[in-house]
Amino acid sequence: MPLCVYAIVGRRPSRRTFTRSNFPRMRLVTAGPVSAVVADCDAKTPLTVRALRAHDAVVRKVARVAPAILPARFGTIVESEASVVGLIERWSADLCEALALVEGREQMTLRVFGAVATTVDSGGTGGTGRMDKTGAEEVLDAEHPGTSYLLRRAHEQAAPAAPELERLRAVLAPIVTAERVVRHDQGPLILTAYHLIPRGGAAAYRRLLRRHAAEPGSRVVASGPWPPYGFVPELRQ
Amino acid sequence: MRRHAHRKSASSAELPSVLGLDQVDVSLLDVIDHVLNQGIVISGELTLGVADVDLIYVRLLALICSADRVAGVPGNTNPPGSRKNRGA
Repeated sequence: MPLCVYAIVGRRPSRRTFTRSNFPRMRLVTAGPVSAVVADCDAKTPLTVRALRAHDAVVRKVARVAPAILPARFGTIVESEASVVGLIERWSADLCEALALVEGREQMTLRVFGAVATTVDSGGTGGTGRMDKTGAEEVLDAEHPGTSYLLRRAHEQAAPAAPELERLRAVLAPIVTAERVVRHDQGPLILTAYHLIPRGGAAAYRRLLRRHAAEPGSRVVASGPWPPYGFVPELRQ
Repeated sequence: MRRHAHRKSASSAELPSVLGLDQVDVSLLDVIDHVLNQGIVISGELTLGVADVDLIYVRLLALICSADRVAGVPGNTNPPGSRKNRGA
């Protein structure tokens, strides 16, 4: 029977907290220092709002008993427990590093709406507005447009500039331990920032955020706390 | 997963609180962004094959097609992902 994966956790939760009554149908598949929270499932995963919320509810429940958790993306299905063990072992180093980052922490999500800042770095990290191509890049564009596009996208994904966040970063610095930013090509949502904060720090995060005076023409919306969905490693083949 | 989907969904107390926008809409936006767009993917090539169709194909089908197609259309006895259902 295929298995739905809900989360990867560090240090196996205790039997006292991860009980059959607390987590019906769930079980842990452990390989070394890492465990996966899985459940038997039908491969035909229905994509409904209810199913998405249910997945999130399970992840949140696991987060309450696991100090370090990497939520699995909805619809992550593997063949068997042996497959889960093999996958965990293959990516053990990446998983352990990511689990260390999120241990004892949770995520706040910040969405910035408004006009794109005019001070976006012209070095290529600011999306589509880059105009200062070098001669070599122009040649690459002409001869290998696909490669050029992918390199540009990789660069954007690797280090997106976020001048709109500069003031916010200063305000939130006392509580934010890590940040990931995703820029959006079209407004009104300019960017989404994922902030890692200590567990239980959401109220303090909001208090700090309330001190921030939004830039004219922009709006900031925070949600959370979330399990650290935005701080999972990208596992390469 | 299907049975799980029919369980009681997260209560409002479990959902994240939101500042500044309508809570229901933003929560849905947030749930979709986090649960569908973020999170770890550990499947890789060790995925199921069903009727000679790799599950990764089935999963993509499940994620991008309409709900009625995933759930199955009344009267259609072919399981989603089967060869007879691969027209779209």
